[in-house]
Amino acid sequence: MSQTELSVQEEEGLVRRAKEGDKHAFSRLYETHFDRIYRYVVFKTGDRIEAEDMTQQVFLKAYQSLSGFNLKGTPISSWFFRIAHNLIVDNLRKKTKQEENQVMSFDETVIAGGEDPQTAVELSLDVESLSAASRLLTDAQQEVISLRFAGDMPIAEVARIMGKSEGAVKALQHAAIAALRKTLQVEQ
Amino acid sequence: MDFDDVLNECLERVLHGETIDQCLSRFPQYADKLKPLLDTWLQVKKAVTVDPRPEFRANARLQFQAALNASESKPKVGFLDWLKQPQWAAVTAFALLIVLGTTTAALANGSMPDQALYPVKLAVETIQISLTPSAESRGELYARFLERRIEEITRMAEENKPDKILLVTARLNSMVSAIASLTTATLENDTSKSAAPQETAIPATTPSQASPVPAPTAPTVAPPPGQNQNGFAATSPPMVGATDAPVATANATLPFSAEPGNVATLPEANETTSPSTVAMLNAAAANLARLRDLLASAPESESPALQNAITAAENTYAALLKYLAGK
Repeated sequence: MSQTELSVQEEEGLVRRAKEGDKHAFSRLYETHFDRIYRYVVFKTGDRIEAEDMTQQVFLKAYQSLSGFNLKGTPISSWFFRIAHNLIVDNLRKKTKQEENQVMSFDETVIAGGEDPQTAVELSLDVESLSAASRLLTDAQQEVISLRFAGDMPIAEVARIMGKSEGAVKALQHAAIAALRKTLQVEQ
Repeated sequence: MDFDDVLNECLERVLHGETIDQCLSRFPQYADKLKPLLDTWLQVKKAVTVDPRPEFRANARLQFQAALNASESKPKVGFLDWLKQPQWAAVTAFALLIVLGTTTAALANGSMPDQALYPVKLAVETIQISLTPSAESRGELYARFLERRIEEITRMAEENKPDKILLVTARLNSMVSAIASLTTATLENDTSKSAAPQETAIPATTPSQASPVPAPTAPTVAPPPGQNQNGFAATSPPMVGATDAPVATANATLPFSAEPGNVATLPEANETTSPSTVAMLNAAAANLARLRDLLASAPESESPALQNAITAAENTYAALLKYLAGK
């Protein structure tokens, strides 16, 4: 399951066939993008179990709405990520309880070990901690990290999805990594 | 080339196999500034590269294929196809309940997942739950519906229809969440005021069809409030700061695990166990044993779906038992 398995032409062909009702074509798209979408959702939610359910929902929703997808040079992965993003936002809006607890526990975990740079170096960074750390970034920085690193998306595609120039996305990428470095206090 | 470009260039190069030192040697004037950022990025990249659990990946693929297969039977919109559409099934069910009374409802109640009236059956159940004011009565209804689901799973297993088993399993998983909400409401002593917890609407064809998907084409007009111009919902309120942390679900607080995907452990009866709980435990033991017997003799093509169904049934029993314990 890797995006590199398909060329642009192959992917466009699969999308066309899928829109015409070829379920095998859509299955191929599913296989190609499944892991990327899962990683994106895990990073955004910080919850692997929740991410499993949402990842399934992304592809089911995409299939149900495929007739409305307009190629026009837009990679279908951008559409999958958009569906995933909106699902995550919808889900977060529904949550009303215990929201501050997990941020607090992250702060305690990371900051407690952060006084000593050597301790910080040895901190085993997992996706849940990283997800929590990323919440201290700006929205735009967080989205760049999510799409670029968790979603394995090239700069140009990130720029298109976020409606920004490539230069702006590169600047956000720089700022996000610097901010994460500061937050995680990684000294190597 | 400014520093943002240089950093991006190095990220791409490292991503494609170059070492950090090799990249630093390309841009010696930026090396001191680049190295810590690349080190951090490498850690970030490693952390985010999480693979789905193999069993999840396999089950997800199976369920997705089932959804694709089920969707093939929908191009013609005849009367029966119309009935299968989830948005009309509830209307039909309500109309049947009002106009035709119990006879047609009873017909629907006897339908199986591979039959046209099954969506009506599910819709009737949803309406029954909605119209039941007390949490206690809703718990009894869920117990009855669980028995039905197990009967349906059994029948579909006997007829070797794994896609239909998955359909019922999705309904069971939805029921777990609904019962957990019911339990939470009961524990909060607010059952008379709380809204009836609803199962996620599970149409006849797929395990999950929630809110509609936004239009996929890039809009050329100003985005609606809450979204950017590319259709991404705005993240500002929920995505930043302390208010957007993931929260524990209601059933995460249960003493019995009742999360879909995990296997629940049912409690054992003792002298203080209530009669209703003992009856539930006995029913659970008998029904789960029946399903496991089916699994033992099931063809390979059916085993994953049946195993999922057993897990979902166990979780639903666990949620119901938790509810009974909290009454």
